[in-house]
Amino acid sequence: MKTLLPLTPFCVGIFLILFALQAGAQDRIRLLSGSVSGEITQTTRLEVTIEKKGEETVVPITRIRSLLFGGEPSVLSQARVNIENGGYKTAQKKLASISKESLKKRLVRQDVAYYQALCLAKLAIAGESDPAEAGRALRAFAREHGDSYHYYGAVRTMGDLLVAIDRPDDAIKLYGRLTSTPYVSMQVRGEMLSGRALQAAGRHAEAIARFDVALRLKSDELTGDVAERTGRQQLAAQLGKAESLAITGEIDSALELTSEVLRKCDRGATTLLAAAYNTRGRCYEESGRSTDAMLAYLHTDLLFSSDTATHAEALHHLAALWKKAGKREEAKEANNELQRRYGNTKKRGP
Amino acid sequence: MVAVCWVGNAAFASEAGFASDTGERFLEQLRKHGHDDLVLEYLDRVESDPLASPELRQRAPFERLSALVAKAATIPDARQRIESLEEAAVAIDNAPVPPSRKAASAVVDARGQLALALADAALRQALAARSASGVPLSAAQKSFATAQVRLAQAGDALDAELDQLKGVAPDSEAGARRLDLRARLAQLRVLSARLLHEEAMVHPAGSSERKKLNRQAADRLAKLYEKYSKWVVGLYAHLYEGRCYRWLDEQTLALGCFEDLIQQPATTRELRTVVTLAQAEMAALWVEAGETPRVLAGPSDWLRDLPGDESTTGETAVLHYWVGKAEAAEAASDEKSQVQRRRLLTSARDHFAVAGRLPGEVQAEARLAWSEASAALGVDTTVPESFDQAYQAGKEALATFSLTHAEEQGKAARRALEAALRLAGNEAEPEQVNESRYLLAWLDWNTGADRHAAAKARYVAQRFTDDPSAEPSARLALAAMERLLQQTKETSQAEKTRDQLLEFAKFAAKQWPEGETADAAYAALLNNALRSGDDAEAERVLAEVADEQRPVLALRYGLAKWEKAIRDKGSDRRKLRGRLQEAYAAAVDSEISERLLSTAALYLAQEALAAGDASAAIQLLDTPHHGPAALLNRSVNDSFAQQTVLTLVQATAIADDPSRAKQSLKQLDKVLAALAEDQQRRVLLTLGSKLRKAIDLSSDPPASSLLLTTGKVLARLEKVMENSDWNTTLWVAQTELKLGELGLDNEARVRIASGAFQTLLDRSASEPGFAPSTTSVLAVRLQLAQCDRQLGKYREAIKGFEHLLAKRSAMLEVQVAAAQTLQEWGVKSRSPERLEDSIAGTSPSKQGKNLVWGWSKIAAVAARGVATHPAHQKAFFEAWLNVARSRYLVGTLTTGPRRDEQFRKATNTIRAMVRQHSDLGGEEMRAQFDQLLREIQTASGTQAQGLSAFKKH
Repeated sequence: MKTLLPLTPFCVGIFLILFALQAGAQDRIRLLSGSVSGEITQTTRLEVTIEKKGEETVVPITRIRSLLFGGEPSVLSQARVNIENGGYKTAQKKLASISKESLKKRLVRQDVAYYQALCLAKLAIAGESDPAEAGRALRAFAREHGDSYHYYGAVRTMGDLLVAIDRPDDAIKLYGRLTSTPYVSMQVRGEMLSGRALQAAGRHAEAIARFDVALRLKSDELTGDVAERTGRQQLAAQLGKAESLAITGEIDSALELTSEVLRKCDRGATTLLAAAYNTRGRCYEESGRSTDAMLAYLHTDLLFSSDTATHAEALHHLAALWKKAGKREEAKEANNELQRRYGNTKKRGP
Repeated sequence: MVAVCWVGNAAFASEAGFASDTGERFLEQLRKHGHDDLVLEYLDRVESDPLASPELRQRAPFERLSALVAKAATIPDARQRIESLEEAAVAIDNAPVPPSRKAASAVVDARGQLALALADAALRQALAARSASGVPLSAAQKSFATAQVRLAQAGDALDAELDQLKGVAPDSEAGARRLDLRARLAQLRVLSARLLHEEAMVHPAGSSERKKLNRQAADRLAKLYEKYSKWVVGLYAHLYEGRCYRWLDEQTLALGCFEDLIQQPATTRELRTVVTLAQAEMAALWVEAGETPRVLAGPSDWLRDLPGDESTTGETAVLHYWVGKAEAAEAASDEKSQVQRRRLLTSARDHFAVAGRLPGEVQAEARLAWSEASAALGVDTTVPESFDQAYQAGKEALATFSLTHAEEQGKAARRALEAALRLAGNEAEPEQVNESRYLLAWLDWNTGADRHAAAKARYVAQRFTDDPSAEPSARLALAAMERLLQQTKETSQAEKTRDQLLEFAKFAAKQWPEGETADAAYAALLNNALRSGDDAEAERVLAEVADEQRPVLALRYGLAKWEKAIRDKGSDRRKLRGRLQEAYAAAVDSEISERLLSTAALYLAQEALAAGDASAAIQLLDTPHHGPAALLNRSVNDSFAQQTVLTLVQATAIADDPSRAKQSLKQLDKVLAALAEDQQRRVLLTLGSKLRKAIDLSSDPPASSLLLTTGKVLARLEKVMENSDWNTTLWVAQTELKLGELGLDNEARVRIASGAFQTLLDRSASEPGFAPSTTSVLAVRLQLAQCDRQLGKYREAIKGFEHLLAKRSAMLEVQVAAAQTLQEWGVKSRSPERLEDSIAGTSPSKQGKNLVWGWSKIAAVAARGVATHPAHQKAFFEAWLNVARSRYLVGTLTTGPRRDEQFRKATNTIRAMVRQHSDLGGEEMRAQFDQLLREIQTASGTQAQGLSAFKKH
């Protein structure tokens, strides 16, 4: 014991170095919280299997943030980060620089193909590339990689693309595939997105019905981070419902729903908080209360501006409201910021 | 530099440490981004923000106070800014007891901000007073006094909070607050001392007041520098101390201060700013002393070495100006070569250009100096070479014009903008081209060339509807055409203008269906209908406008019709009042101009008052938000405020609300303070006659508040009565008498009335034509004699009656008054002889006939007219009653047989009257006879049976 004790720190150091070296060559699943390393042995539309020391772990896709493959090109990792931050053009360039021949693993090739299609679609939604080309790329990916854990991501993005080109019914069919999965969290998302698609088409009664379905969905299986993510989707559905209610004249009920969302929301959920204040802004605009609307959008602009889409939306509305209030300088500033920061972002709302 | 800036890190905003929830953070961000108006809006709605904490909700009314000040401080118009600041001051002064420490801190912060804003306002007024732009010296001095009071209050509040924070840990939130408060306190003290210096500067150069104030300021600033020399604020104290010495002609001391500051290590921007200001002061001193080469060495070098972004600040503008002045002075030196002169002048012109672009105390001078330098250099600023150059020159000249009102600058702006339009090619920004057109139209409007203004503005509005200048052009076109229409006399031209206006107003209302432009357009359409008396057209306009604009226009229409009804004394007032009431009720909840609502509320209050409903009038005047009474806090200097106060004084007096009536009189005093003496007289006379009318109309005894208020109004009127006309003086005297009769300070009122009657008589004697007629003089003399009688000045009273009776003895009313006077005099002086005179008459004339008849002759004369004149009948019985009374009174003053005889005679007189006139002239008179007889019976020692004693026998 006397000899071992002084050696302990040294032993720990060696272990950590070895672990790090091994981790560099291993695959890794980034979970909603934490990660799992090993060798990814199988993927399906719903699950990913990872093996470590002979022991297999099956991870449902609802818990996965992304996969990192041992030995994948570093530009692929960088492109993933760009995509997460909304930098689709940058990601597109990086992905284009990867030589397909150099990719030995099928799953890595699959990942690159998916992200390329995704970037095309996101840019098309923002009006910066051809939707038809993006649609073709996504369909090809879904057809060729039916077992990919990205399958439902591709389906959902195809739905988003269809909404952007005013084909809500086709989009709803695709979102229907999400609602057919066994996962409640995906069902919630599917219903919520269907509601949004109907809302964009001005079919508010149907949209509200979809949002209500999303809000009613429950499962005892939902725990931990998945439950949290699902909860956020449901709050998003609640905001969707509020927006449709406001547009159809039920302002008070709509505002009450947004208040409830804000009260339930975790303080760190800035995207949702921003969305909630934007929805309040819409409610007030619908009822002609410009100052209240301005204050609501200003919450997003001044406090919760980290999410690209919601911040762009708030700036877009603020620019119009400032102009209406005769504050030309402020309107100009909001427009400039919108262009400077989110030139590529399509603004939601009228 | 004029604007008051906080130095160091102290700023009266909520501290970051307080922002513990979303609402707090949002509030902080709104403030940080300068959205002061929205801070107020947010605080008003904080209850509905789900993420605002209960603590913030509770504190919101206190946070509002700072926001009110901040919002007011940003108002560009000086008068409106001061009014809003005064309103904020009232809100701060009336704030309830704060429920928490943070709420108390919010009030302290608001006080500090208010003091700063008022100090800033005082400095601006001082600058305006010094630049002779119409602001009177007294206004600037008043502003300084107000600011000093507020600085002292803010200082006290800071001191009080500091006391509570004694001993707190420096690294705690409370410790940070304490440090912040100390810094603010230092700044308030320095500012207060600086204001003394700025106040000194509004007094004429060389005046003792200027010297005295500068000396006081210098002493205080010197002490503050000693105390705070390690803080930036202390350096500012030293800077202003130096300025004081400069203006006290103590240049050595001044230079000492500035050199101290210049020696400071200027490692930060903040410190460099102080040094820059000191360099500017030093440069000014040297320029004034003719030592310009020294400026070109020290201050000029400093300016050159400043970092780029610091060389064009408001503080450096002053230095630029003085360096420019020094260079221009050097250029004028004979020793300089032509080349050197040109180089110096060019550089001076550049410095003036920088100083002229930046707002500050030397901006106007710098612009003029730039023009002079340009002229001296032969630079033709009137011939720009490109659109950009012309556009910029036009805007700059226009900015100078609006600052200096120098006609030449207006012309320069026009030349440049016209050139801009000539030079505008494809490369010119369309927005700037249209702005040039708009500005030219504005210049036309400003010089009264309405037709040109309207044409240019219409062109921009109709041709470039999406351009930013289109909408303001539309408003300008509407205003120009409206004014043109009012001024055009020639019918066909007026018709043409009206048609153009109508067509354009319809276009503008359609193009910009919301906001100010639509309001102006519909107002133009409505005005047209009103002008032509076309009610159907007005109704059509009202039916056509958008729902949200209708209330404002309907109210405007209702008001216009009502005002016309008042002017024309129209018979359909009732209907129009109903319409106004309706429009007002519909507009109350709309977001429309509070002035319109207030005007309507005022008219309706006046109507309620006229209908005798003072409570309803008060309710209308006190309506929350737009009630005319609430608006009084902002302004007392217009006719609206006058009318409001007059109505308020009447309503509160009639409603018998003593404390409100007292408060209203204070507001009346504020209104009066702003008026010339003859205007004060008019206002007070109008008010007094309305109050008098209310007294006269009272069926019951008038309310005590009504009497008191009338008395106080009369007292104010009497102060401005000098040289007033006959009717005014007479009215005052009679109203005083009336108040006295109603029991309000009887003797004092009669004395005042007597003085006024005497004044009338004196002036009618010395100023021919002053009295309207001889009869008027006689009537006044009678009233004066009656006053004398009431005051116990019987001799004077009798003399007055004699004077009247000498002219016409048969005036029964005067004879009665004279007999009554003799009777009263007899009682008061216990003189049986005077009482006898009251019966038999006195004052024999040259013909031997008594001028004053006495009761006996009055009775005899009245008897002749009893059948024909009801007044004579009354006089007849009254005279006999008084014959008996005087006899009884003589009896009471004598003893023995004479006493008995007088009682007997008195009794016999009554008996004879009963026999001859059994009804004794009616119930009232009969009761008086009965009462007198009982007194006589009692005094005679017989049973007091009254008139019934005669029936038994």
